[in-house]
Amino acid sequence: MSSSTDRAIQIEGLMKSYGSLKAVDRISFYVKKGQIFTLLGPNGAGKTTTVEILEGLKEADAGRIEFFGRKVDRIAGKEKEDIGVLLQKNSYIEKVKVKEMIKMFSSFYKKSLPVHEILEKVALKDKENSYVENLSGGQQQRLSIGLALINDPKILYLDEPTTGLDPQARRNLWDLIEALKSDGKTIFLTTHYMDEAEKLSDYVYIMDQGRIIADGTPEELIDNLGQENVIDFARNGLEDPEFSRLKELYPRIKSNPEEISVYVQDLSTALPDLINWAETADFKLDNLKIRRPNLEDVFLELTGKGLRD
Amino acid sequence: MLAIKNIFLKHLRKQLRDRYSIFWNLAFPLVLLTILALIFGGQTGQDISFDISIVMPETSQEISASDFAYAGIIDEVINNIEGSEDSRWFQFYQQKSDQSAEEFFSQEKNLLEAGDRHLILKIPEGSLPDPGLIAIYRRPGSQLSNIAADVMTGIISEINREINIAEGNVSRDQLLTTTSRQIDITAANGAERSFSVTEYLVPGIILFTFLISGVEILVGRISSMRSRGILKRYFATPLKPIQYFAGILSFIIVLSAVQVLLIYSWSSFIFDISLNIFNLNFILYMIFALIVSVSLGFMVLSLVKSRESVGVVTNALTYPMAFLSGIFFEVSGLTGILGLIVALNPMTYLVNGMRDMLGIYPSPTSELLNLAVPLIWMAGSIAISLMKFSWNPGGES
Amino acid sequence: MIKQYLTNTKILSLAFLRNKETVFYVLVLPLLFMLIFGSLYSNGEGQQQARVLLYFEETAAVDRTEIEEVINANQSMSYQHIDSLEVGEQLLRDYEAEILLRVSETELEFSFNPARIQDNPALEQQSRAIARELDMRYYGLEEYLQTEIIDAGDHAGTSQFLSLFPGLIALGLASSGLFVIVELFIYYREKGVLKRMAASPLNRNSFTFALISSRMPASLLSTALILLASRFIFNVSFTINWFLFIPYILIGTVIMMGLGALITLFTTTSDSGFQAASILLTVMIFFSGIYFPIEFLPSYFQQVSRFLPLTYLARGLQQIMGVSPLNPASLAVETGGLFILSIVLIYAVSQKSSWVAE
Repeated sequence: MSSSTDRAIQIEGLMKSYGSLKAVDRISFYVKKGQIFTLLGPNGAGKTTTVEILEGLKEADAGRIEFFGRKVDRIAGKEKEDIGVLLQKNSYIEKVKVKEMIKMFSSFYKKSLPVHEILEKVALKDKENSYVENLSGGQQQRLSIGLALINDPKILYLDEPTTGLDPQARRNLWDLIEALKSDGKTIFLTTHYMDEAEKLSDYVYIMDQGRIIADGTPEELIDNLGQENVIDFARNGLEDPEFSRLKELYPRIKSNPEEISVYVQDLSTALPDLINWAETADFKLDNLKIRRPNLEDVFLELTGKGLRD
Repeated sequence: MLAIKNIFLKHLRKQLRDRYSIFWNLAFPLVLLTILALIFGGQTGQDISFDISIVMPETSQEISASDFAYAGIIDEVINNIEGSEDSRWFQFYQQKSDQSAEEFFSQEKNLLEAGDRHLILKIPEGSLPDPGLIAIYRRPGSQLSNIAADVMTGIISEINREINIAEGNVSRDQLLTTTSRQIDITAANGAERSFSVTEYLVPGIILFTFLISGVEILVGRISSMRSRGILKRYFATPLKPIQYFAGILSFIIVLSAVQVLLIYSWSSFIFDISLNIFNLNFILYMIFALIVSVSLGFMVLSLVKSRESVGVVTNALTYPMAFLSGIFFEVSGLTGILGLIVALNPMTYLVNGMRDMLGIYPSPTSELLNLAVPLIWMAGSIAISLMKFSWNPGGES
Repeated sequence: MIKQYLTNTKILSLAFLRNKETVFYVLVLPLLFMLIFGSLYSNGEGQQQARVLLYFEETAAVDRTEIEEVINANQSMSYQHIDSLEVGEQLLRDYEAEILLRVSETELEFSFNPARIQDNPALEQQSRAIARELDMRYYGLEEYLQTEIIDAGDHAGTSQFLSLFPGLIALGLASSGLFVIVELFIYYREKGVLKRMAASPLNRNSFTFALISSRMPASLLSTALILLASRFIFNVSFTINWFLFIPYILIGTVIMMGLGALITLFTTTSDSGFQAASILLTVMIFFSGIYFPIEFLPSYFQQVSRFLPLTYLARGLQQIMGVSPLNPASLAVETGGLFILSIVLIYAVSQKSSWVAE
């Protein structure tokens, strides 16, 4: 159980509505210092609204915010000195060079790291004289992270940091985020990628339709499913009555038009049963995969829909 | 054909949905024509009136022309002007009987500097035969003031002549009268007509819209689609570049035709001019002018790859081509580099040709040059485009 | 705060000057217009010789040599004899000459090409000067009443030509300042640039002030280029009141920003804002009297110029550059009033505008 002294952020009963739409519906959570907390959920869950309130870009309609043990009405200039932000979409003034942009953002804070240190941290030293708009997608994202680190913040908000990046760039960014955690930074991550949440997070809050519907470490959330293994295979147009037979065999089953996932405790019995069923039903088991359950499965269990739906 | 039609409709819809495009491409040429016709027409027109202050010298005696005092002479001249049909040109202001000359002069000088007067004449004391000096105060920044000064100087010259005749220095028969006139414009077909500023402007404005369509609109749209990867997407389908080109060119032709009709209708309705733009030769020449403009546009697209540079280059081309061609006003007096640009500019010859064909103004350049120079530009532009132009799918733009 | 302001001003100034469109509209275009209109109006000043065609009828009362002497005495004219009126008129139509003088037994008839709208007033003046000179020389007429033209104010000269340069400087200020408020409060907000900065403790007023300041180097550079070019190309120099001139350039840029702020109050998208600013700039070019004398427009059109800041800016610069007499009171009232109004408008827009689009 964590005490309030080791909490970077604590919110209680946070609310934000847009007309009749409750984007954030009385949520409460805390973020421990020096850990990576992830807010996981599909698009439209309210993640970005939540994090923008914590970044000081929006004001909550109701709720209580504690910032490093200090109660605040809203996140204002004083708190922003200790916050680093990576927005979902980062845009900059054109015709400004990389090092100039870093200098400009440095000037926004009372204390900031040297420009060369930021450039080295995000591996953009060789691009310091390039215009920001001429950087590749991955380079621009690294610059954005550099700008988020400029004031050596106590807490970093990373909103969907790897969206749109190629796999290599994603992995590079994960490495950077883990390095930042090693430096003692508190990181609040929002993402709809379950592999990202699993890989990086110390603690996960799952959000849907403005509410926190589950929380725990990734392992805890997956273990709570109560299933050790998942068998995936291509649906191949399987319908009733064979599909019903399959469901009798495996009560924990999820499906979509392309794929069927079967959740089982014991593979040694489940797999032969499946093969027998397939033979009987004259069904071809294509793309057969066996895996551990993941957060996507957790989300599916909780909401009946996928993270990417 | 369907593809061409769809490309054409796409550009047409874009034009019609954007109110700013409607303003710049359809309304602005009419606004420009109107303003220039009013400004230049006003300079040659009949609506000018000069506000002139006459500061008479202070004298204890009532002035009279029979005393041969200059004040009296001027006073009589002013009365004559005010009593004649020339009075519509002048509004004279004189000091009140209880006002001193200096006070009145000071007051009028302030009005002159404020723009409420065009001229002040300070009439000297004295009388014939002693010489007298009339100080004419003008506002140098005002063209009307300069014209007023010139007119009054002319009137005073006439007064001198009359005085010389009255003094017996010369007889009226001996003196030559001085007159001025404007020559008539003899059109290509030999018909004489008097000069009309609006008629003079109409072909220029039409050519200006063609220049904008070919060099700015066409270039802007293709460059934008090139840089955003839209053309790349199109050409990943069976759509051929020639079909795309045909579609966008159809739009340019229709836009130009609408502009010509609007300009013609506006000038006919508002300025009551009549020009025969529907004759076949003129229509063919207009199409030629449009093709020259479009080919210039393609040349720009061929040579300038960067989206950012395209806008700058088209403006850098359009402004000098428009202003250094005679489209808006006569530029024959320019020398040096500017004169050279006028001489090389295809728009110079196109607008001369258009005016000549409509019988507005005989072309100062030969018919051969009016065809050859634009043709050379067109051929050169097409040659460069064939060598260098790239739809650039996924390219630099 | 000062360091923040200075850093931002420097970087934003560099960014502005690196933009090719800035370079064109703020620096190149005024120079281009100066070359074109300066050449056109300077011709009307008699800088180029007027070519006079002389046609003497057989019964011409005046001797050829008399007229040739009069024309030669006038250094802004040259002459050429022609054999027929038709040839002379054709030469006029072809712009090969400016004046056709027919000398007959009883009259001197001067003919002009009506298409020379800009030049004809000066040409008619020169023709009358010929006639007057002939009167004096040939007939020995006494000039009882002499005339002396005095230009009101300190500057002895003209006209549309000299007024052009202050007008072009004013135009450079308009190009520099008109679009910046739309850019800041609409374009940058649409793109999300402001949102990113709002997540920092940046002082918004400081940033607005820095952005406004960043346009000043461009205004000063544009002004310097026009002054240099006018000196070297047209050999024109001005008696500039430098004490007033530099502040006026800065104030003028802010006044144009105020106009941009007014646009921002009525537009919601950057596209509309930029387009509206372009239209306003075009209206100002035509109705402020910089390129074309508006005194020939109907009075209801002339009234439009009273509502255009560019008119007052150009007028103020004319005074400060010695082209027209300096009237400190009206300068202070007009400029001061516009400046205060601009500050109020910019402040109003900055308070009203959110940096985070909902």
